[in-house]
Amino acid sequence: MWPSRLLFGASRFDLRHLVVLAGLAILLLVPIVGDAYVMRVASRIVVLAMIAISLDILLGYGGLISFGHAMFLGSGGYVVGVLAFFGFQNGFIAYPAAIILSVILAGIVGYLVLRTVGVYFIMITLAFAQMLYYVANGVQIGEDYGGDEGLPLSERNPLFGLLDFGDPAIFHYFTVVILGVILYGSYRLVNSRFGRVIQACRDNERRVKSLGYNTFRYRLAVFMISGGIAGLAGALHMNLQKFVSPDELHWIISGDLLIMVIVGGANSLIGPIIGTAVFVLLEEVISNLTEHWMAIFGPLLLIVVFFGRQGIYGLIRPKADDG
Amino acid sequence: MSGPVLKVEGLTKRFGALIANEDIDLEVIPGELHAVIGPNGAGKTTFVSQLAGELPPNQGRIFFDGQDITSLPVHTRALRGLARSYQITSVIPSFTALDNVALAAQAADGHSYRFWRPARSVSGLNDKAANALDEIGLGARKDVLASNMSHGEHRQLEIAMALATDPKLILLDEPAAGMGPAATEGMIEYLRSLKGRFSILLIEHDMDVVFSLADRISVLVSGRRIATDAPDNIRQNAEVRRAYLGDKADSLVRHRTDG
Repeated sequence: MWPSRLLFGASRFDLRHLVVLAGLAILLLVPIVGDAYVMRVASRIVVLAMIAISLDILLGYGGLISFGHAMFLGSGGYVVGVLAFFGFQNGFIAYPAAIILSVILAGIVGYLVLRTVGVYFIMITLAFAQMLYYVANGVQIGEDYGGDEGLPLSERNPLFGLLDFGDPAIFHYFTVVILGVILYGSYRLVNSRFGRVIQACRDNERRVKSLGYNTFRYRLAVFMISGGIAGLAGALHMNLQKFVSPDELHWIISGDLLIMVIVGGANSLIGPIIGTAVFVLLEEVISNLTEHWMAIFGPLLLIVVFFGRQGIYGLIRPKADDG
Repeated sequence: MSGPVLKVEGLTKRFGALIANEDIDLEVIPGELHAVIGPNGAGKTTFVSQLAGELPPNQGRIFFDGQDITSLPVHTRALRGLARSYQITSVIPSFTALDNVALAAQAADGHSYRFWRPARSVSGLNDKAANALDEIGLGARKDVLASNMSHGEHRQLEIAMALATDPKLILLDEPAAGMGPAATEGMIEYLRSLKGRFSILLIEHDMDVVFSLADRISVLVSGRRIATDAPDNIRQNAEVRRAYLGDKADSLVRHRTDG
């Protein structure tokens, strides 16, 4: 199978391939040519892109607009933080635990929120994330940790010393590989039998029910899968920053994630990565010029939404290609 | 199977003070094409929605294939073999015609919690879907997005989806709604080809469709079933003519003598 067909469903070489290959080249070259600051920004893009992809599986493929996805950035981060506090540093424990607990959290939240649709779904996911934000603010661990201070991580979760994560470059490559795995897995997921049902639910849930599908269960399953991916991203984000705070769960972060997906291009898997890169880079560049960086970013967002409902990825997609 | 495929007993649905369906009894015999007719507001759509499970009845029971399904949810009824098409087109617009029907075939096949293998590479589902489309005359249009299809094609696609779920009984809610005369003729021919292969409950407005196809006809008026009989007897039924057909009665008699 050609990689281009795998990612784009097309065999012709076009602008999208160029953008993706250039992006991949930059991500791989950053540790060689960039300084610590640049590498940190690049790693941040990679980690947040994972959670953007997980959100797009819900939003672009499932038609479920979650305004509370930051809760999983928080759940993954806090699992790593709390485990580290109690002495469990091993990455082979911390990462699976972050995924499993995020899946469970998604199962509980999803079971309740998926009974609503449309704007009610948006509001209730927001409400759950805010609830967890206040929980994170309130929970104190020991004397100095937790609460609004957050939790520190003294060193990145080691994987039995297989990789030296003290070296930011090695951690960066690690996140790039994980992003690749998530991207490929998501590609398989959305094109699978399960993905077909999920996408049909987005278009016409009533019809899918009348064909014999228990749509609630499929939506709960995709909510849990998305939560698991996002939880892993949260754990990596915590490892990158060596710190997690309640701010990670704030609704503004959930909003930022929605912007990344929509600007980059929902209902594609590359779009959220592009959106994350654009968002993080603009945040870094413009916030150096003025603290009111949203005043500049807002109009840019409007332009993208006005000119292409498919986001940036939609703009670089060839017109003839309908698939 | 000897008993009726569908048996409805005393089905009653009220919306506040409005009684939409009142004490309706009805049976569909295996292999039969049973039509339900009635003027606008007779409660036909309310009736079919209760059969499909989208509306809970206030009273009464529904037996499908000998089992009480009155309190089962929509998807469970569908899995047991109760398929339906909608009066207002209900397809998956961003899917191709083939993927729409393959989705339906996949429901009957089960195994939808499969997360890895591309759905489009499952040849069993594709073949079944392609056959269903060929049969209804959409074979050449199988790779067209449903959103780019015409109204008439949507009506056909609806029925192909219902058939691909391997149903025991198909509820067809005005399959020819909004179709032109030529397309309606094609739909009638197609439905005729289904007769005997499936049990069909046809909810219909269009008299030509009903009288040329049905084995038996039930007449709903103001939420009540006032008659069930063979088409010829329905034409003659004084109560039906008075209550429902009104001034159309003459044209129906003429239609019969022409035919």
